[in-house]
Amino acid sequence: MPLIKNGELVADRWQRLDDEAALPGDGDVILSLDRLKADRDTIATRSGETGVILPNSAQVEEIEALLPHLSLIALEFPAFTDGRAYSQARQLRTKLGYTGQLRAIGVVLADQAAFMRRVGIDAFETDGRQSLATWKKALHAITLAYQRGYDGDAATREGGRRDAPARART
Amino acid sequence: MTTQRHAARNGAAKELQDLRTKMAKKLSGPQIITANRLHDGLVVFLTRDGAWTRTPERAQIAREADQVSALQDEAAMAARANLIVDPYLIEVTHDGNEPVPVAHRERMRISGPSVSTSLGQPAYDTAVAYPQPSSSAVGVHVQI
Amino acid sequence: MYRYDEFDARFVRDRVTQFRDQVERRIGGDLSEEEFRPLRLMNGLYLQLHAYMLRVAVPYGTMSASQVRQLAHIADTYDKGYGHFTTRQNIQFNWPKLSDVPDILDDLADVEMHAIQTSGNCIRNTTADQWAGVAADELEDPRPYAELVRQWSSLHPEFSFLPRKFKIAVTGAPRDRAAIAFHDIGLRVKKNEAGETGFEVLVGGGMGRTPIIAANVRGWLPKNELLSYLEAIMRVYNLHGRRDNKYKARIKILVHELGAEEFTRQVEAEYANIDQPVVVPPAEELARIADYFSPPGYEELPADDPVYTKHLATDPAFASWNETSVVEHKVPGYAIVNISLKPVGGIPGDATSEQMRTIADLAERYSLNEIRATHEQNLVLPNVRKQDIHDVWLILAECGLASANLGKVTDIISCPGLDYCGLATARSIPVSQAISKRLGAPERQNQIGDMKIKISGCINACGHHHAGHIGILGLEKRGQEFYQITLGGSADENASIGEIVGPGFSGEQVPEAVETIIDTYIGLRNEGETFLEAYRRVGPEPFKEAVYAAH
Repeated sequence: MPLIKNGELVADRWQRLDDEAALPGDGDVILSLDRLKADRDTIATRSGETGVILPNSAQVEEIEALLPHLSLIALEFPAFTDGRAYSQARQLRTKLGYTGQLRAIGVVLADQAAFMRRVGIDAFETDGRQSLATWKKALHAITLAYQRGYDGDAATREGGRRDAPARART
Repeated sequence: MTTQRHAARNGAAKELQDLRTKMAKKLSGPQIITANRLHDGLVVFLTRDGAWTRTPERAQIAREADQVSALQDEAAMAARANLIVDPYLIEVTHDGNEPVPVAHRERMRISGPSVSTSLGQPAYDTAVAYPQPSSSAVGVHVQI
Repeated sequence: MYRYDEFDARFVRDRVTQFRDQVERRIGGDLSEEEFRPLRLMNGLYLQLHAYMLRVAVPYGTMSASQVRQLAHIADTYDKGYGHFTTRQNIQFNWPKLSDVPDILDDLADVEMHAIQTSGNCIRNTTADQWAGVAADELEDPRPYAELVRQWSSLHPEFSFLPRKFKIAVTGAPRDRAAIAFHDIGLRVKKNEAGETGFEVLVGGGMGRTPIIAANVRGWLPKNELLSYLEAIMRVYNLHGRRDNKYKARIKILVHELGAEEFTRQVEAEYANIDQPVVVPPAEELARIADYFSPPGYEELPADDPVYTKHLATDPAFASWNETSVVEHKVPGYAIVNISLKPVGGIPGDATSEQMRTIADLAERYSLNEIRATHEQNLVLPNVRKQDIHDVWLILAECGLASANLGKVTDIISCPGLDYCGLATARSIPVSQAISKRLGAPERQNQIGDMKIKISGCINACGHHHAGHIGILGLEKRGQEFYQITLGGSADENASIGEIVGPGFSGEQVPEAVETIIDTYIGLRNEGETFLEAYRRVGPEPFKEAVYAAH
């Protein structure tokens, strides 16, 4: 699935790991939440990077203790009308201080890209139906914003972003 | 074929399927298809020529399952072609030349707003009747 | 009133540009209807029974003369010469073409208006007391806060895909004219012992198929914590509101299912995590907004005006209208003039473009350029000098805007119903017209006194029938419209939900049933007792008996 990150189409170095498959020592793998919890002791010692798919009905606190070992969290958008993951993203970035990759998966449309960016999502798994040009335009569709303290490059009335948190690029 | 066009093709097939699922209702009896025209939202009906008409009398009436199916396919294609939106089937009784919907809501859809008529006598036999703004909004004000 | 600065103006224009692009992509086939639908809903464009419907936002019901003139222009240019004022202080146009909507939105942007978020599962128009800033009983003008909430809620990145729509109302007076107890969030401005301003926060009220009166979640919230507290409430709702069933998706269900205590606990826990300095606007921002609502240059006038007093004494028609329509203003020498959009037998809440232009002229000349829309589908000229009231009345009377029925039996609230709405099960407008004609004689209206009849054409209750003294709900049975009557509802500070009186009635039977109920009230009332008071005293039995006696 085409992955858009930093406004470009990028190759995806991450692999989804089946729950039944063995957990490799190296390689960047995305686990289901159940698998992550089952293997919580092993992931700390892996040489590869570990990510998780967080169901949008889950509490972000469920993975709080494991955040230091996670470089990627995939947030689900089962339908574009289901906006729970926007709040999960917000909590992960602000309440829990997560700085790794936040990836939108599921039904991910360019027309929501700007919103997703603003809550701290920085990667988008798309279905390829919308062109890269559409995505680039859509990612910057919101240039002015009333809400303060959110991410993205929208300017608030005061003229800039306030307290934009530092973000590790993964 | 590019990834995008391939996905677009698959997307189109899925959309058609979704539309047909949406339209598939448990209706019996003769049926017609109605929709709203995309660009202006006005109510239209599918004719036997595959065109979309504002006149309900010209609506194609389907009586057999395969005829209904054909109507649904036609409507799904028209939706995909961005002519109409929200197509659905209406059960009708065939009263002479004109299809009369069984459901009250659909009779209202065909006749248009009834608000210039008195209660209990909706304008079913009136063609799409637009309200008369100046008389209906001003009305009779209280005489002292 | 608030005026856009460059930021606001660009924000709205950007939205128009974005939507114009989305419409082009839709018509050109680049966007499917499924993809386009949430996008058009975010700009207030519905597909209804006969056509598209555009719902224009009227922030907390406040408009200027040029805005009303532009609404008239839109009605004439793109629609059929009229607009409809709603139970959320907005205005609706029933016949716009999709291809015209970007131009309509540009015309709206020209006068600092928009249709953003008047639909969809997002935060809708924040409504307020229609007499905000001018009512004699008001503690503090709630509109600066309503404006703050309006801005904060516009294109909120986190809260644009909620389980369901979200409605906020604010009042600054002890009398609740904004129906806050029936909103998802209701805010009442109050002061503590130190004289500081803050809010009482109610959550989880609503109408629809499960009417509920809001729970008190916070007795006192300091004013500068407003937006962060709202954020906490919205986050809990966004994460935990039900998404499995459209009819159980409002926050009222979440509050009901968790219980107010547990819900409050979750909100407070979320609130404790919010980094206030990052999210709250600077103090100067609230001051900047509040500045727009400072008193608009009132003259120093004596409390009474001899010309006005004389007209009252010598012109019975004027006096009669004055009795219902003119309300005390906080500034001496001024009055609040209410305009009924409920002519007897007319369509509740509708105004022609000609009427709109007249009202705009009146506002400019006589009301310090301000007009309000009320959630009861009427309009207000909030700043009329007493010496001008008679002149205003003459002009209103010339175009059918001087019905002396505000708050009376013919001041009916009615949703558009099955005549227009794709969701409706029955017609509501003809019912209101029939009741109005039957009980429209002036002596009859005065005899009946305070009466709020509210009619909804389906269970979604956009006509707020649950909060009607007499509520009427339109349903369908075996292809026929039939109507359920409820009694004793109220949307004020003593909120109550109407009780079903018994089996439903056909459309033809409704006016008679309503009259029987009213005559029963007249028969048993104490001196000076309103219908609502009498109902609360005697309960439903006498009315049930009377209405079903013949059956």
